Amino acid sequence: MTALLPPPDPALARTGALLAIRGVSHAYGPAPRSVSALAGIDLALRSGEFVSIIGPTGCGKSTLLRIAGGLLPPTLGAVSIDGAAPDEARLHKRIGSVFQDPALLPWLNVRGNIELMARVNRRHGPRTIDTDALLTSVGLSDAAEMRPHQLSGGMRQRAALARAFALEPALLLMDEPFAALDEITREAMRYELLRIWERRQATVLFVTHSVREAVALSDRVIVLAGTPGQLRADVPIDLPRPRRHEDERSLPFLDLVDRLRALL
Amino acid sequence: MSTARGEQVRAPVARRQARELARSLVAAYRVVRRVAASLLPPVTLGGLVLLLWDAWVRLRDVPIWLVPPPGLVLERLLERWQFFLEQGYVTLGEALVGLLIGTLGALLLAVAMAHSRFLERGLYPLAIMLKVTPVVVWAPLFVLWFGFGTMPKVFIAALIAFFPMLVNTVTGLRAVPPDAHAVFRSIHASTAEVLWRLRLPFALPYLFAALRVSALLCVIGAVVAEWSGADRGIGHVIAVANSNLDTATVFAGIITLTFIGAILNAAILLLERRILSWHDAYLP
Repeated sequence: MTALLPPPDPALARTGALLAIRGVSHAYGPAPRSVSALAGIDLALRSGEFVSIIGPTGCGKSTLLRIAGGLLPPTLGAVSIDGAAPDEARLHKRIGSVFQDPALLPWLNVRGNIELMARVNRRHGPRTIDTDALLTSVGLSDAAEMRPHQLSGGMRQRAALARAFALEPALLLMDEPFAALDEITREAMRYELLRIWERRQATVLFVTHSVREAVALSDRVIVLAGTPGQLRADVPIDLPRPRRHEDERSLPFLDLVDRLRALL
Repeated sequence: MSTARGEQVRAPVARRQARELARSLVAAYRVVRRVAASLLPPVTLGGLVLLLWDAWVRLRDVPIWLVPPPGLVLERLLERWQFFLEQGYVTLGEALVGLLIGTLGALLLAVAMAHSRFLERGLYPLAIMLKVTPVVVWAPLFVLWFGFGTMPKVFIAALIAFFPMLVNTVTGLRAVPPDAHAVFRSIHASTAEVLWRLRLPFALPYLFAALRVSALLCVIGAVVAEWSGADRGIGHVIAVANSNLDTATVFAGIITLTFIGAILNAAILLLERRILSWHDAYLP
């Protein structure tokens, strides 16, 4: 099985980054009439780093995330996850993902949805999942036997979060996971995500429209802009951790938000 | 003392029993009301049509061999109820086996077509050819090929069930929410796992919608096939009665077919409600 996968780019493997994206460009559609979505993206995430990507609609944020996870092969360039090709990382279940749609299977309860992660592609990854601990950490311990339709939007996204952490992934890809939630729930979810992330140690690539969300969560914020999307800025967020909701009123926080808004 | 205490203990028990009885009476009343509510419209409308029919036949003095009065049809049905039950049973059996074969065939082909554009493009014209040719054209051919037994009836029923099942299942197998598919792909789920755990469950609502159409079409298929050459079944009964100008029996046959259709429809609805309890249409 492994032998069939393309060998990782040796240059990428040497960088020591958990996620390395080198010279990635992407175009949708066949050559003459293709639409270019991304051009020459270079990006590296250290192990345990939380990096957000912001940018206007259509700048290729989601495309970049899909390429990083090996769900979409780039037209040009290469990606490596922990020194291996993204396909190998998928095969060994090293990637967790959360999308805007929680995408829970409606015929399974919350527990079934989470434990499904061990049942699919069962030859790889952890055989058993500590579902109860996961559910406790996302505040859903009473909802284990509930079906998705019995949950609120926020609870569904918490379940999706628990599912993403179920396999103890090295890389967590999040594509606007809180975009469909109301403002209050959305703000609460940020800090719940941070508490889980601090305990479970994953490298996170987080796509969002919200500048505040990006600043509140991240170690670094990447600004993508233009068509095709290009890297416009890479802004370190040197706010102390652990972060709290109250910090969003602090001067350094507001300064960073203003700086990033100016870059968009 | 002891009796007083005993009564004290007994009193709440009696009250609880009374409450339970009241509750079950209310539940029974609700069931009766629901059944009555679902039976009321067809019974009312059906009764009205029968009345008009009867009045028309009487007032215009329509001859019996042209249009029988509803009383005569009912009389025929009650007088020979065992006969119609047996013949209806034959037709129902052919339709059901045909439905099973048609459904399984459509499922297998739909899975292949949903995974391969080549097969989809190659097989659709064939499926359309089968569908666009009326059953009355196939029926005599099938009788010619498979004889007068049960086989041609089952095959015609399967043929007529096949197309709606195929088209809907292909659509359903492709109706997986993209983010759910992405979650599966991100952990390297195999094609079989995506099919079994994602595509088929998400296709079930489409499958049931088609099943409700196909189940009734199957009965038509079986009847048409019986018409073309059989020694039993409602289609045969109607064909013989038709050539004898025995219209009362023709109508009695039609009523038997109506019952078969209603039973099939109800069975599928029941199954659907069981299996698709998670689907939006059945959520409280």
